Amino acid sequence: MKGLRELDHYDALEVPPDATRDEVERAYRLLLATYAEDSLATYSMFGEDEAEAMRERVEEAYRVLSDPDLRRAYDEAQGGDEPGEEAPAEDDPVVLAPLAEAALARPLVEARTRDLASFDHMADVDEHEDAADTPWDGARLRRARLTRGFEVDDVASATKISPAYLRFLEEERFDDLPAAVYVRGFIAAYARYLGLDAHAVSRSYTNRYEEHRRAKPKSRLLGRR
Amino acid sequence: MTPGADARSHRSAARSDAPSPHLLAVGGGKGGVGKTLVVANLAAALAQAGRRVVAVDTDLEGANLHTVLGVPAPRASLADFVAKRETDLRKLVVDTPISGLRLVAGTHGHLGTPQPRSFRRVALLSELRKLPADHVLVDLGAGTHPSVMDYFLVGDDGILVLTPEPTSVENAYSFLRAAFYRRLRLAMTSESARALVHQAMDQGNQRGIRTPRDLLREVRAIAPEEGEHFANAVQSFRPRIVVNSARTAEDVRLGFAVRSVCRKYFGIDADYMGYVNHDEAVTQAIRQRRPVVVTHPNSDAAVYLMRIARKLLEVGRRPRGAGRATGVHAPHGFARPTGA
Repeated sequence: MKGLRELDHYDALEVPPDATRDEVERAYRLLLATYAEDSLATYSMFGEDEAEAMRERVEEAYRVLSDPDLRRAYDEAQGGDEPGEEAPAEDDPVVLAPLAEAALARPLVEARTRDLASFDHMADVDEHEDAADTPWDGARLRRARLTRGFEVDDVASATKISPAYLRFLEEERFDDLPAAVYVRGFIAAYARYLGLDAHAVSRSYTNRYEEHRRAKPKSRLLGRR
Repeated sequence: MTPGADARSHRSAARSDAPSPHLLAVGGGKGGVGKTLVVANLAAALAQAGRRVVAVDTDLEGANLHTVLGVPAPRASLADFVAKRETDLRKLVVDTPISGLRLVAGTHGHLGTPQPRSFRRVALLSELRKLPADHVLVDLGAGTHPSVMDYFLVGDDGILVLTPEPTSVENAYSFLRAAFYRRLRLAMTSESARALVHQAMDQGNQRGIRTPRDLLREVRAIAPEEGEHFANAVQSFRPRIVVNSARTAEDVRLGFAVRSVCRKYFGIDADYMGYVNHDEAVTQAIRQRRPVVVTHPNSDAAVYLMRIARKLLEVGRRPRGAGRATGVHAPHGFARPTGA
């Protein structure tokens, strides 16, 4: 089993040796949130000292892996991407990150690959749904957003659409939304941010919106509910 | 070959030709987190995908799987098996309104002894394997009673359901801890190593064993070969995580965070299977006494549950023996039922 300081940088960030810059970035943010003070996921398992040690270890790993030059130098010093060769420091005072000894060499690499696959698996499943021939409604947009790990506020600050309108779009509160031309623009920007086909999504959504408007012409004249 | 694998092949040989079903246990430590919701809907989704499925309600104290599957309180139930009124579990299987999905209910248990005693448990665990199905889904009760842990550990896969609330997350870790140490103890071959694991299960133990890593050091100190059993048990333990009642992206990320804790604290490789959102359609489905994937197949919750079911179809397709329940714990578990 390995203590916190015996972990190599890839283990510390829980990414595979061939992780892209983007994967390193995502893993870093995820782990910082995971081991943050008062984090729901860790407060009952790790003391504050342990969580802090973990955050420092994550920071250190990120500092190296996010810098192409430092990362290359590190990989070379490690002798390729075969981890687990370093002698275990038995007196490591930080007792975290136990890793079964038999799993040290090759199985560890396997575990990582599997791990990343499952991280991305959410997106894979969503691709299956993204490609589905069903209309793009508000619920489907919300699912696509959550699968990619974005809050409404993330989308709002990137697209400059107000969080209120984004919620109206997701909840299909059509009567609270502005004219079709704006809705089309909002949806296109939202879809683009999620990496979806902006044209197809906005056409599908705007159809629903216009159908609703046609079905309830009076709601416009009478104002909001 | 491990002694476990050997014993396993003997067991297989002793059975009829029919392949045994993929056994999936769904637990969560805390009551009310959605175990029954997950079991009912995954079972229904697998049945809709053309699989033969039997759902088993082992929560004899709070049995209601039959209700959400639309089966009026069945006369035959798992309680009859526990009370030895029936020895063949297959005779307790009843139909549900969903084609391909059948049920062993958990109704009308004896209030005094709701949990089966250890020998009865062993019989039950082997009976589950004989059910005529592709998938057997076991709905576990709340808590960390040894019988709950045994169902979880003996399955081919175990799903841990939690919600984004401190109480649920704490109980999920208690559950994981209990499963982890029970699995380790069953993997130890010597009495002294088992005693060590037992000591470590007490969080305030006098030997200062606080983490799995401390424990491994102690185990290796008394018997190096037990260290290897330890490592195998850790490596083959792969719980799956489902986050229920997710509302925000932060809730969705909880599954990844728990997975990180599994790795960094226990050294185990957990799999985040997916999440289910908080959805009014679920409440409506329960009122209609049907799974939401049946009543509201296009609802958010149903779409999320179908995602998890699709992953299960892939898991179930894996060659038997590649899963987590291949040898280390199961035969020892069967051989030493009094270990509770």
